[in-house]
This record gives sequence, C-alpha cells and structure tokens, in this order.
Amino acid sequence: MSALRRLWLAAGALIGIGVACQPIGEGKGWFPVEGSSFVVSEPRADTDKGDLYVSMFTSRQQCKDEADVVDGADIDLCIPQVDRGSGRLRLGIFLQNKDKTGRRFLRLTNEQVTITHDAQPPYKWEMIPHGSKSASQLYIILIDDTFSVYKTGGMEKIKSALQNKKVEEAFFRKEGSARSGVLLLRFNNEVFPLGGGTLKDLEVLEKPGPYEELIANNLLKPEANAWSHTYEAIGTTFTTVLESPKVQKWITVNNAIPKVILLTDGYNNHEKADACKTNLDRLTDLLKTLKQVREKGGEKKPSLYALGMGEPIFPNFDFRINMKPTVENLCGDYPDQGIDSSWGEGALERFVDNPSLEFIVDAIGGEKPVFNSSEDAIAEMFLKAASKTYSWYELRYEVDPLHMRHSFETRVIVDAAARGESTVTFVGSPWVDAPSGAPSKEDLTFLRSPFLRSLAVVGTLLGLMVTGLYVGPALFNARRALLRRARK
Amino acid sequence: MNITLLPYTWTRHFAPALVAGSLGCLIWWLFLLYDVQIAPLVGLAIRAEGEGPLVLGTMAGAMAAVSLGLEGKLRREGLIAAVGLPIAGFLVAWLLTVITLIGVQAALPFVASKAMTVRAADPAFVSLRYRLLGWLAAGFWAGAASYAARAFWYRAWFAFFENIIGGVAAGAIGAATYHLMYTYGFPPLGIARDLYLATPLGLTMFGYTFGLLAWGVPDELYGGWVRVLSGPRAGYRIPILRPDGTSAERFIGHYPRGLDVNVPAEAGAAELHVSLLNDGSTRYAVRGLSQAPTTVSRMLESVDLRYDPARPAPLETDLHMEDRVTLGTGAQTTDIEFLLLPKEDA
Repeated sequence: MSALRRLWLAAGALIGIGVACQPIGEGKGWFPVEGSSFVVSEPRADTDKGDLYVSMFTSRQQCKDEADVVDGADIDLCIPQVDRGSGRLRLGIFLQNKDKTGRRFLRLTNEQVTITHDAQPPYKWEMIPHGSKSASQLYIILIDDTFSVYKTGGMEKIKSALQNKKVEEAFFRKEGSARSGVLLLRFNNEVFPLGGGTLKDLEVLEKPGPYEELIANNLLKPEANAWSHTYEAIGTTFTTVLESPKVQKWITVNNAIPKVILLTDGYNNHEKADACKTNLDRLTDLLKTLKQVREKGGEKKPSLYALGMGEPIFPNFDFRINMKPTVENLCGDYPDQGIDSSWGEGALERFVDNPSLEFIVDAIGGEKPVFNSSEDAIAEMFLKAASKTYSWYELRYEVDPLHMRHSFETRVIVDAAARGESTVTFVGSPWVDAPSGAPSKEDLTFLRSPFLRSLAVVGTLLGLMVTGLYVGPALFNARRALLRRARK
Repeated sequence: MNITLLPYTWTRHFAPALVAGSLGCLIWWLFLLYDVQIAPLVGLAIRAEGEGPLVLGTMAGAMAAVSLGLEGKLRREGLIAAVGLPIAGFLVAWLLTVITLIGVQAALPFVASKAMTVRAADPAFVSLRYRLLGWLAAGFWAGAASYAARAFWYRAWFAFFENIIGGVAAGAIGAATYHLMYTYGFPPLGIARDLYLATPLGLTMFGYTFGLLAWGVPDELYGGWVRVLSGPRAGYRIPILRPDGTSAERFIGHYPRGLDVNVPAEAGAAELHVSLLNDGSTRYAVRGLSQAPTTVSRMLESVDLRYDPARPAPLETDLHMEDRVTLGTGAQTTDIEFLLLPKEDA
C-alpha cells in the first residue's frame, strides 16, 4: 500500500474516532458512571432561583478532591450509580454558596428537597445524610411578649418548651471544638434582653444554669401598653443584635452560625388604627433590610425559624419564589380590616399573619414557618433549629426501568434555610448495558454486579455453540458405532 | 474449521450458524468491555450517536467476514479467498452499514411524529421502532457484501437470495430477539425483561440466522465412497471420484481383472454385478448390471436393481448417504455401503 494511501487511511481512522467517540473525565464535561454504560454530565446549577449552589458528585475523583466534605471511608457511597435493571439511581450532593466561595453545611429534611427524574417525581426516594458536622451555633430566641400571648396561655407553653431537658441539651451541646450559645430576647414595642438591660449589654449564655434562671424568673406577666412591633423586632435582631460588640465577638471567636427562632402569635401592630394594609410598607422596608443582611452574610449567614402560635389567616396562602408583597396577597379580602382587638370580632389580631412570615423567611433564609401553638410544636421547633448539620447527602431514588431507556435529567431542588437547584443529564447506551445489580428490599440501594459476571453470558452462549458444533458429528459417530459401521 | 470435522449430516449446515452466532456474542462482550471498563480508563467513550452504527456495523462486517472466511477455509482456498475476501467483505459491510445508520439516525426526527420528535432524536432511546431499520440495514449489507464476494470469486451468481434476503431476515430476527428480551424477558426461565441480556441474545440470533441462511455447507465439498461392509472384502473402500476430482464409474463384481472392487463369487457377486457412478455434479447413482439379486436399501425403501434383459438399459437409482447395496441372496451376500466423505479424505 502506498504511503499516501496509508496516510488517508490513518486520517480517516482518526476522523472516524473523533466523530464516534467523545472524551470523558475531569474537565471534559462528561463523566463515566462506574459499573454502567452511562455517562453523566457536569451539573448545571440554576443560581437565579436562590443563593445556594447545589453541587453534585459526578466522579470518584471529585469525591476524593472534596476531602473536607466527603470522608475517605464514604467515597464508595459518594460516586453516582445507575442500575437500569431495577430503575435505581444514586447521586451525592453537597451545598455551597451561590458563588462557590464556601461550603454550606445545612440540616436538610425530606420536605426541603425535591428530586425529579425528567421533571417527574420518582416512585420512591430517600435521603441519607453523611458527614455529621459539629458547628458552633448561636441561638437567638425572640419571644413575642405581648398580652395576647399570655391570654391564650402561649407564654406558659413557651417557657415549658424552653425548660424541656432535650431542648436544653440541644441548645448547649458541645461536640469537639463546637460550642453553642443562647440569647434570650423578648419584644413588644422594642426588643429587650430577657432579664432586663439593653441590647448593648447582651451576654451570650453558654451554660444551662443562667439560662434556666432567666426563663424561670421572667415572662411572668405582660407589660402594659405593649404593642407588637414584630417587623422592627426582627429587623433589630438581624442588625443591631447581631452587630452588637459582644455578640459579634462571640460569633467570631467561635466561628458560629446565628439562628434566630421567632415565636409570635399575631400581626405586626403599632397602634389601634392599624389595618392590614398599613403593614405593607413596613414589611417592604423590613424585607429590604433582611435581603441586605443575607447578601453580606457569607458562609455563616444567619437564618430564621418562625413559629406562628395560632391559626394562620390564610391557610392556603401559596408562596412562590421571588414573590413580592402586595395588598392583595398580604391582606386578601381584608385590606382595611383592623388588627387590634378593639376593632371587635373581625379584628385580625386573633390570627397569625402567615403571609408576612413567609415573605420574611424567604428574604433572610430559613425553614418554612410552622403554625402550631402546642408545647410540643414549640419544643420541636427548638430541636429542629438545634439539630446537627451534615456536609453532604446521598440521594437514592427509583423509577420504572422503562424511564431509563433514554437520556434523562435528574434535578435536585433544595429549599431550606437557603435555596438552590441543579440538574445533571444521564446518557446511557441503548445497545449495551452492564450486568444488572441486585436491588435491596430494605432500602433503595443495589449491589452492583461485577463486570466479570458478563462472562457467564458469554460462556453460556459460547458453550452452547461449541457443544452444538460437536453434537452432530458425535451423534453420527455414535450411530455408526452402534450399527457397527464405524471404520475399523 | 476443517471440513473433516463436519461429517455429511443435516447438522453440518448449522456449523456456520454456530460460529457466526458465537462471534455475535463476542462482539457484544467486546463493546461492553470497552464501554464499562476501558472507556473510563482511557477517557474516551463511544458517543451514543456513534454506538449504534459501530455495533451494527461491526456485526455486519463480522458476519460477512465469517461467512466468507468459513467458505474459504472449508473449500481449502488460497490466501486471497480465505483471508483477503473476508477482510474486504468486512470493510465493505462495515462502511456501508455505518453510513446507512448515520443517515437513518439523522432522518429519524424528521419522519417521527411530532410527539416523538425529541425521543426519536435521542440516540440513547431504546426502541425497536426507531432501531429496526438499523438492524435490517446491517443484515442487508452483510448479505450484500458476502454476495458480492461470492459472485466475484466463486461465480455464485445464484446466491443472491440466500445472502441478501437471508441477511435481511437475520437482521429482523436479531431485532425481534432484542426487542422481546428487553420488553418481556423469558418468563419460562424466570428471566425478567432486561436490556443487559437483550443485546447479546439479539446479536447472537442475528449471527446464527445469517450463518444458517447465507451459506450452508454444500454437497460439492464431499466425495462419494464405496465401502464393503461384509464378506471377505469387509472394510475395503474406494472413492468414486478420481484423484483429480473428475467423475468416474466404479465397477463391482467377481471378474478377476480390471474391476474397481473385486468381490468373490461365493460372496454373492456376479461377474459384473453393479456400478456406482457420478455424473459430474453432486449426483451419485448405482446401476444394476447383472440378473443376480441386487437390492438397494435405504430408510423405508428397497429398490430391486436386477437387470432386465427386456429393457434397453440397466436400472439405475440415485445414491444417498449410507445407502446399502446388497449383492446376492441368502447365505451368499455382500453388503456395500455408499458414503459421502469430505473430499479431504481422498
């Protein structure tokens, strides 16, 4: 063959390989899914819809590289896996700030995570946290200290919940170098530290003793002429309180994450004449302030846990991301309705202003507000705020295997103290598939079959073929031997 | 593979089928090995768009090559026919299949219904409806390549039907097997629907069917032999064809000189008893040249070949594998067997 022909052949082969093949691995946009014929794309995060970057582990190398997130012993749990036979998939996620400047170790619950397979929810899914993180926390408990809370017996419930042993242990838990502290505040017309003093004198409680004493000796009766300046209280807590020298020093020294727990039972109400629509401007101003606080929060952004101790005014209020408050969505059919009880039976005070709380939590970041006045619910709110965080989560889900017989997208949406979503695309080969795994009956894991198991198929088929090649001659010879016609 | 390993039975036609089917299974395993084990190591995966053309193209090429290679080997052809033709067949079938499949894949989104446009354009979509044409094209080009080679080299112009229609049929059966396995599985054996098993079985059936239909082991690779089964000359055998392969007529009797097989008179043979002949093709016959008892026995049939003087010519009957010719009667008989053995035994 001439040299030119060889050159053409080589060029043709290279072009062919280039067209038919694609590079995979780090920096190539696609990663092989171990033990399968799938490849997975790099995650595509939608950062317009939140301030969280949901990162997904797409390769073993990435799991190793993120050593501060994934412990070495967990690397096998971190890599993505797909089993087309059972329709099961596993993917690991971890959270970062939107601009990827720092990790966000949050405690996620199933309600805060949405996972979809080609925009549809899977049959079943589960989330397993990994990498328990002991981070220092500062719990700022902001209690609505107005007459209505006492009247309904709410204050007794708050005090009982605060004195709950489990709550106390959670608040003052020490793990390794992580420390926790508590600030007890009350508000009506202004924000005050529980036990007296001013916001300049705030001291973070680090031991249960002073904490118990403060709770036992305060919140005994309501003050006179006390209105519920809820918005101001929240704004003050996230600005003045957090920026006060002693609190700031405590946060810095302990590298703590501040968590504000708000307990309120009604509306923001400054005077008798206040109607629902009066709160719109106040709320708008508060949201602006809170957004500013959130934007400069960095890795240790504060978050809000809100408990409305009563019946929400609009139980079916449908809050959407990036929604802005208006008279319509804040007040519904009652824009001019008075808040204070002096307005009579129609006064809004007996309800909890749930739209406001939704807007506020959305602005500063935090858990979805809860509306329940029972003591258990209050204690549960405290425990939720004080629970452990984790560095990464393992998501497993199952779909009908038929839904894996084409390319598909897996999307993970996290809507917790912060929000973010990411999507990855899985592309499988329609022609070859790795040996199916053995799905577990207890959970959504599967035992991956070793590749060499495919030799069982090859061996069986080849064995049958080779046997078939000899059956004919063997039968022929046997017959002739039996009939004594075999050549001697 | 050697023709001596294939006795003249009806099962010999399955040999190319079994070899081709085995190759189909191996092709699947090699692609699986690359996809799952090698691609992650070398950092180069086969695109989903390219995998179909590559798998089916390789299959088509391999089937053409194995069919031509087997024929060349069994015919004991030289290097060109045994090696060159298969390579040429492989390249032609592979290239044409790949080109066809790329075209089919590109056209699919335009011919699919609106609701299925996205799926049709997805190269990772597992579907018989959108992949059937690929299987058929692979079968067609495998058959076309092997037919072209056979027509060119062996002057087998008549082999159009077996090769091309057989190739298309092989593609259809492969596709059907692939589809059935991933849709229904095989419940009698407790095998659930599984894409993992669908491809190896589909490719194996493709290969098996192609091997069975495209080229069976022909009679011309075998030569007729006469073998004495009983009497004083038991075990003695001679080929009917001459050493140069040309046809001949072999005479059997007790005449002492010039006969091909001498059987004593006391063994029931007349002077010139029977002759076994070949007409230059693959047809063998036996003629009764004597009025002495002469019977041809085969399954469910017995032919009396005694010479009738009133007839202008001796009686003749076709000979098939293991037909027995009995000379004489009663205690004085000799059994002679007709065998077809690979010409290599000559």
